[in-house]
Amino acid sequence: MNILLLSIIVLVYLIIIAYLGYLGYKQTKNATDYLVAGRKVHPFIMAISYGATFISTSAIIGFGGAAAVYGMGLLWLTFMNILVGIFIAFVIFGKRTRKMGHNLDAHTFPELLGKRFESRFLQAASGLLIFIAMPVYTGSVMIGGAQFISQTLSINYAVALLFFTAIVAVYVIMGGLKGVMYTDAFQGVLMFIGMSILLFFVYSKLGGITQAHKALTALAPEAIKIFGAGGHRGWTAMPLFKSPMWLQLVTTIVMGVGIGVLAQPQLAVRFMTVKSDRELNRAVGVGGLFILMMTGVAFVVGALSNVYFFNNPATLGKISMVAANKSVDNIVPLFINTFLPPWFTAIFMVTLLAAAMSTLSSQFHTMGTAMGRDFCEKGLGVKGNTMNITKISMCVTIIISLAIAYFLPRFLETGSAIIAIGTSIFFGLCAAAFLPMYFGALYFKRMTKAAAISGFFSGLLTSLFWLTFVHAKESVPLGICKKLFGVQTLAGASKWALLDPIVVALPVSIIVTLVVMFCTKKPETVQIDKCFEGIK
Amino acid sequence: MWGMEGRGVFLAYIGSILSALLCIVYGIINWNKPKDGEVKEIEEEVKWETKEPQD
Repeated sequence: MNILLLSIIVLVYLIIIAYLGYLGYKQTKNATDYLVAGRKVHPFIMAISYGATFISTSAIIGFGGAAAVYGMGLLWLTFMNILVGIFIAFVIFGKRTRKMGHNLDAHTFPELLGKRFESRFLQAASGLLIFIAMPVYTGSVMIGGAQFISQTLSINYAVALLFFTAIVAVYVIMGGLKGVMYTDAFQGVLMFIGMSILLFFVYSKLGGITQAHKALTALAPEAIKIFGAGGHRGWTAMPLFKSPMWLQLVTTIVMGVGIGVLAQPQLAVRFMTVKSDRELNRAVGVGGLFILMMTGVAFVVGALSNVYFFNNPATLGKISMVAANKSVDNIVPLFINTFLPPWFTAIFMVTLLAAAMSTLSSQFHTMGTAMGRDFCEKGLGVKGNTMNITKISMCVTIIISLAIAYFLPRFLETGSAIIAIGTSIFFGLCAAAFLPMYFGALYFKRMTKAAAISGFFSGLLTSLFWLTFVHAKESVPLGICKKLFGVQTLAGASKWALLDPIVVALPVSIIVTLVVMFCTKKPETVQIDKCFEGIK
Repeated sequence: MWGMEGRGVFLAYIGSILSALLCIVYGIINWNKPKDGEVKEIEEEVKWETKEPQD
């Protein structure tokens, strides 16, 4: 790759980011601006910012690589990302979140829950969960981003990590949510352009849509030869029902990530940044198309990379996994580097940088507000200027995430596994702890504080138990089960070890929430009327 | 089916495109809804200006 060309493109990109971060800083006058971007964000910026936060580099590289292994069955995740992550999120959750957030003067996701159930404890506990669990997810995104920068520019990992983090930290701390959303929108547009060009190139070079798919279908015997024992039946077919690959694909990837997105604090807060339902209606269309072009393209291209590697003279007869030396995370970068023209490689590298930075900026912001506004201010009763408390908290959480991103790869050699594990742990925990309470808060006037707290803890504890002692994907690298019971998972060799925590913890949380809700006294009418004012 | 072997994958492919289309059509149909939005927005904004949190 032409390093000079890449350096110029990256420099121009960083100058624009700096300008947009400065714009956010200049337009931030008070806590509402800093925490919820003044509640007057343009629907296009809101939609693209939501999408760009949603999609990180690991969604393109990590999950694109996974598609090269599992095949196009991964497109069920794209379907879920659009239908659940955009349509249901905006229409079913978004509108009520916005209105209730306004009614209750809520500035963060935990604050919305805390004020809805009149519980500072719930707000502080939610903030604390985000503050403790999110750095693991943030650290994963940082590892992904820094590894990618260090490999691309051939620089030291620690240097890449430090610069990358510092750049994002500056515009998030200075510009607040306005800075985050303006830069997100620009990064999202870059991502959209990069992925559109990629899709066009791949299909046209492989002879068109049907021809490309046919070539991939013809490689099914190769897939069965290598992954057949796990239930693989070719890259254009779903794995065998209930086989290990099917369970992994459907429960962890499609359901875990597909449903988990509904209760992501960094995404939910965006609904409170627009001034009316009209903005949300307009954002739905933009968001749906954006996600289709992100994960849809990544998964199609990831799967089709097998055709290219198998027929390419340099890797003749090798499928993607073999061509990339069995490293799933190397498949997409290797494909981009060898299959596409150099000028596009440079553009695509910036696309991936934008994807990492847009996710990271929102994570920094959410962690800072969770610790500052929700835990310190409301939970511990710290008095002072909201913006300053949040800024200090942001610095603390960024340093913790930085330490995780720096030290974790030293302890564990499997870098790619850290990224996937960190992401799935956070998604699973959020879904189990927040989703039943969040839905109940918006739709059930009968929902009580006790039900919310019970659902929160039952979901959280079940999820933690399952990922520590049962789900092999996490219990094996964590090693706690091995130390306490001498086995890697309590499920042994059974298929329970493959079942994602969300499949167990979410139903537990829902049942506990419902049971406690109907066993406790109805909440006060005055509070309910205030929450649901203007909500039909 | 567009060169794909399994019905499950074909449905996922089509489903992804159709769900994106659903979002786009929904966005266009509801582009200016709710119609009384502006009056409510002004009312809300006035209410908000008086309830700024501690800065």
